[in-house]
Amino acid sequence: MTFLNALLAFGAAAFTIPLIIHLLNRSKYITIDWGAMQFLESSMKVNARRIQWKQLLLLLIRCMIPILLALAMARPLVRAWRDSGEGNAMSVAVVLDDSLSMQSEVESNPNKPAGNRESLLSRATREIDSILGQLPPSSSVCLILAGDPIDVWDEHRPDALREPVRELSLRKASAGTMNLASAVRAGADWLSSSPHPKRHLLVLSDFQASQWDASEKDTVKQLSEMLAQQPVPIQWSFLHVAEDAGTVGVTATTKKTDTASQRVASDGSAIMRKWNDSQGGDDVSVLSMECVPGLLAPSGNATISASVQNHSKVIAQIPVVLRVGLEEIERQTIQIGPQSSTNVRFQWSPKSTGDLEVRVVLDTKDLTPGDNALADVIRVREPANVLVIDGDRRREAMKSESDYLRLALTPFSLLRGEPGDLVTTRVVDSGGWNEAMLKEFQAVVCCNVPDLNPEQRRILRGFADAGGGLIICLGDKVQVERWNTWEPVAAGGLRLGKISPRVDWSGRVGTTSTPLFELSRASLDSLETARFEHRHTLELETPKPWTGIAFEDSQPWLVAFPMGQGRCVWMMSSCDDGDSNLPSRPVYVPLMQKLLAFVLQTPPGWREIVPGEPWREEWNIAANGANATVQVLFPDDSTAEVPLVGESQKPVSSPSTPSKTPEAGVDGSTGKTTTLLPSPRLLGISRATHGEQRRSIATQLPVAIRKRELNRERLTSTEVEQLASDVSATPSSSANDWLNSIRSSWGGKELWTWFWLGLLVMFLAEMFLQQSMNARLAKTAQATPGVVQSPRNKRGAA
Amino acid sequence: MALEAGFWPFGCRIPPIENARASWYHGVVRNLPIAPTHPHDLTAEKPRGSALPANLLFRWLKPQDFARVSQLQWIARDVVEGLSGGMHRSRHIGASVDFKEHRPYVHGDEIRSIDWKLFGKTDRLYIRQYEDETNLRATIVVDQSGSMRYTGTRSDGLSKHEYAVRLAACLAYLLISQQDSVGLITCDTKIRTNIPARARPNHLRLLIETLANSQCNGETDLGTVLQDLLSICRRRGHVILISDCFGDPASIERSLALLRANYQEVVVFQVMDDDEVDFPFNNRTMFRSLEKTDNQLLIDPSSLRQRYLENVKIFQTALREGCSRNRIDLIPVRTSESYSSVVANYLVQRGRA
Repeated sequence: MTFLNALLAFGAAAFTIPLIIHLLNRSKYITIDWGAMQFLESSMKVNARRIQWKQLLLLLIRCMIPILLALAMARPLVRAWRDSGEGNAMSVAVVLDDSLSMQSEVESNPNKPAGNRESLLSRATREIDSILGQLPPSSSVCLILAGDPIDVWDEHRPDALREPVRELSLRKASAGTMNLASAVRAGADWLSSSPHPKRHLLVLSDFQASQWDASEKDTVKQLSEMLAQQPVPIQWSFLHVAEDAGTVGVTATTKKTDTASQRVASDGSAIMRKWNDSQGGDDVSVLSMECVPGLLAPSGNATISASVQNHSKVIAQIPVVLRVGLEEIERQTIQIGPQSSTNVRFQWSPKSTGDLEVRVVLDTKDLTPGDNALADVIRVREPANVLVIDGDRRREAMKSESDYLRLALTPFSLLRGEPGDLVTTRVVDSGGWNEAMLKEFQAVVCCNVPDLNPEQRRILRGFADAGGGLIICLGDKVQVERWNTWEPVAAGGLRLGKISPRVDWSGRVGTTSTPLFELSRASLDSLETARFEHRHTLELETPKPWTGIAFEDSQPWLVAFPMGQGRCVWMMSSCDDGDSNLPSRPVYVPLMQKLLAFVLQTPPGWREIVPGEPWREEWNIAANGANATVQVLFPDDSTAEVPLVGESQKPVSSPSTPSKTPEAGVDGSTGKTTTLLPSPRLLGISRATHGEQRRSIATQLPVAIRKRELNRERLTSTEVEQLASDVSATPSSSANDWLNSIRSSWGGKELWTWFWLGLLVMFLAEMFLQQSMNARLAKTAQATPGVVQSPRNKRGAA
Repeated sequence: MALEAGFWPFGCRIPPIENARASWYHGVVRNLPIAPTHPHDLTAEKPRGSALPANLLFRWLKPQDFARVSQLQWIARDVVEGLSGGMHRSRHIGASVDFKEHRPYVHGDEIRSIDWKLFGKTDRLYIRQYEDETNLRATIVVDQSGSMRYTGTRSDGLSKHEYAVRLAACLAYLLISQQDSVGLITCDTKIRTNIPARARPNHLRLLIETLANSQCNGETDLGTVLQDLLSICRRRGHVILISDCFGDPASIERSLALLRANYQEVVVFQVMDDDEVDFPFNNRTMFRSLEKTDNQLLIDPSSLRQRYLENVKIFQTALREGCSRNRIDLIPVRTSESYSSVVANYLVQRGRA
């Protein structure tokens, strides 16, 4: 605690005044020779202690009054918030930039070689930890990871959030770029429902020029206005975690042993950099990466090309490594000129089927290791033969019923002519096939077939019973009356139920999530945009619940059911653009491929999710499932172990591990457990293993936001201060700096109030005590009219 | 004729007093050469001859007091035994004219007391009895313990002892003026002076001299003193106790009860200073005991006042109830009051009773 008016604090010594008066009064008395001592002695026995206690209390209060007055006028300022009580609790939304550039290393420690230094993200989490440790305990804190897409860690007490933040520091910044606007808006939303009137939004970032420079300043200004227009204004502050990157670099140039390079930043200011000669270069990144094709057969040949950029001003010699899985396939050493880029090509032929993670890595240690690698996924499959029976086949391009379907199933063969597709298709007319032909095919798709004769129906049913896949798409050529006379499924036929004639109906798909065809969030979003204009409806004859996807009015659209050893899917609309605009939606290709994979009974090797999307996996419960765990392997080779807990042991969402707590639910009837696994924020394939069961998930960034921060064009601290003053924010260089800036506004006030209140209480207590004692005197004085108020003269014996 | 207050200033000639009961005083003091200018003037000239020591008398008694007291009679409520005839009823059945009763003759009665006229009428022997009148035998007990030395602010400079001496002188004068016998006892923890009762006018001089020479000292033990008094007052009579009665009320009551059982009519004048009753002190004060030299208390009187007053009240109540149980008159007296009016009021009250 300090004082703003320290001199006035010495006024507290005035407490000696009542003390001296008291002592003087004690030493001054008159003497009386008294006869009736017997009455006094008995009174003394009863009253002496009580009176003495009251007198001492009164003396204490009188001493406290000058002390409190002096302290209140000295304006005490508390530095330690932890001591300042519940009344100073506040809500803080911490926006942490975890974009790729935050993987850059702090350059302030030249003694450590590049690659072993603390990253900016680690430093930022340290600052957050420091803030959390000093905030009043009853404050609320929300952590928002501002990398795109943003990740909001809900409201928590500061102490509860410290452990997750420390764990966060061990992770690598993986998000491509910073989504400042979304993060600030999320922070403002959270703060608007905060219980505390003091609301702060703190942005910790390295202030990449691409995000914060003049062209983006309007966005920042709009955010600032939005914060100011909140019902309770939100104070926002910038904490520049990479502030010393430039300045320390300048000091490093004084060392003659180092070679220094000077670069002119976008604002014209000179940024001094220290380069490590032994490494040959610095600040290189993989700009982009492409695997062609992404889906191929084991015999196919994939070309992986990557674009590598050298952001520095020196020539860089960099080993570029191609890794598939954890295995190093090829290594090339390339030479890149200053501030230029070059392309690297790798050829690779897979030997086995499966889903493989392909990674291009620059084997160098620079200050931004996060951009030294890019990953993609190659799916290697045995090709499947699919027979497409087209009921409306035409000569014109893209006019046949099955053209869109073929395009979806074999996209690469049609577009490029390369044998990269997993599917080969053969299109025939309604009558252009026989039982012998079907032996070559694993799946049959009927597109808008007007009718099937009983023989054809028997063949198809037999094909399905033998394990073949069957997809039946309706359309405008379908003769409904005849179709309704087919044998039902239960009687060894193909018919699911009664089909209504094709009607006009405007609507869309209602159920956007299905356990049957696992689609990524982007695909499901796309599915929602598909609009239907015509459809058939199906009156199911089997009463048991069906699986598939429904229209928005709950009428079935895709209905899947087992047929013998095979599977069959009915689609209640056409597979071309006659009934809907579905073929022109992005979801069409993955949907059709998933449908085919479903009827082919080939489970998908992975599912695609975007970073931050929940990762749920279903497991068959093992015999010793009570103590079982799920091993998770992330793309950066880090592992996690998630307990496979039952529903009764389902952990409550603990504040200590927000959004990372695994949840599980046991479905006793099916013996399956659904586990919520830690959502990977790193790009690449994450694998989860439980016993013999393996699950993989590919984390991909949506194309629209696949931007990356690759270089270190940062704002200087001066620019950040300028920016902060432009947008009414408080610039800070460290956690303590920020804490001090918001402390000074309230610390003095709060304690002031308490001292004044204490003073008031002391005055009231003094008055009350004095009055009570006076009233007692007055009462006895009234009872004894002869009371002399001030008998000063000494009385003695006659 | 009653003398009016203020009519008779000091230094003026004493006017003739018509009241017969005041004539004795007139006879005593008329030969005084000059009346003292002030009652406290101890340098006044000593009296000559066998006359009463006028300066002593005036030292203790004001002329107003003489006048007021002289009009009063101390009438013994109970029967007392006197040596000479007086105005009080005697225990003896005498030869006076006041017929009391007839009673049957028994052997041993004087034959001369037989009412022969009645015998003639009834043929039975009856004794005719008369009431006798006698003089009173009073013993004034004055407390001279240390506590009586206290002088308050409102007592016109009189200590309690001085007040008690004046009151005793006043009573002695009154009784002697009625031809009653008056004795004097001064005491603290034990009896210090014992002057047997006499009815002679000159006896007043001895009493007043003794009172004037008494010194206040030491502690009080009134209970023991009153018990010692039993051996002194063997005959019926009056005991007039003038004291502050500080001490154990139970002990005092016990001794007074013994006195009463010994056929003594007891009157207690409890002399207290106003300060002792009101306890008016406010400032921090050191109270030094007047009886024990090593006893002193440094206290804040205002904080103790209520408790003190309660203690005084409890003490007074105990004392009053003790006296009441034994049919003893307790007259609380403040030193600020005029002692003659105290005596006058009491006698008026006693006359009513």
